[in-house]
Amino acid sequence: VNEAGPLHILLVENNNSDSEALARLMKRHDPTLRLTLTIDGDEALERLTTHGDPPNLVILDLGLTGRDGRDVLRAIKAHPNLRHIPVIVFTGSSRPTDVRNAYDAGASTFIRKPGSFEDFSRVVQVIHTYWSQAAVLPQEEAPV
Amino acid sequence: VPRDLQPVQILLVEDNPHDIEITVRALKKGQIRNELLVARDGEQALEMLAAAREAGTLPGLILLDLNLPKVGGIEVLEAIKRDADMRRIPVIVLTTSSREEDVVRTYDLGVNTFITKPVGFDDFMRVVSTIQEYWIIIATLPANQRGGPAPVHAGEVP
Repeated sequence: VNEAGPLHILLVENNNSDSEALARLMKRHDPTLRLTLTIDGDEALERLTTHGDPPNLVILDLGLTGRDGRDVLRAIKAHPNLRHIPVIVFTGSSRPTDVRNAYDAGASTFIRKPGSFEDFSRVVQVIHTYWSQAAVLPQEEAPV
Repeated sequence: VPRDLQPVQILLVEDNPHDIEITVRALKKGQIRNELLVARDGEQALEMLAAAREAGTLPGLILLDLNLPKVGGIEVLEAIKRDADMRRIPVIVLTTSSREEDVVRTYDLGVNTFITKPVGFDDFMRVVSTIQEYWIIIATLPANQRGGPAPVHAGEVP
């Protein structure tokens, strides 16, 4: 259990089957997990900037419809009240420029989405274990 | 899960010999033979990074204590994250602190993860193994920083 408090993840993913699989796998490991699902960048930024109760971790796909994941990452990292929230880029891309640009823009981690369900399941489990049991996340109520 | 795993050079910035020992042992238990360099204070860390940058062999991952002699961990983190060549290297703060102030400050400065060192030996080993599994097996690190010859020998662990 994360000694700093419960995990609240904002997922930004436009692929329904990936989104559902990730939610189902994480909830299976951790029924108390809070997961907010958004399907595009505008919805994610709207959720981050106009609601109270910010998440303490963001999982972001790069290939989104409308405003893409790279813009969302830059917007989060440029926002004084959001920039401390770690952003995991979780994407089908493995282009070296996407990897470098994501880290340069302040992504916490770049993780490539595996193709097979077995590997996807393992990756999601490791992400959850790392952030819920090893990492300490900011918990303060960020004024937005 | 990627099959093309290559050894990653890890820079550990830590002044406590006991914590260095545990980290080395936990990393050796992993399935990949990563190369570990150790800096024993913040000043040495910055010197090693400057030399590695000159040689084009920056580490793939940095584990950073906060409470360090000479130059503190926060200053080391700031120096890394404002440098155009080094900022993309993932930095994991591994510290005895769990103060919210330190957590928020380091994330604001761009730390990739803040981790509080567990007190017990077994828990510490488990956390280092989790770090290794997450960063070496699951994550994709910036491509130009994998592998490469060892640039610095001053603080290398035998």
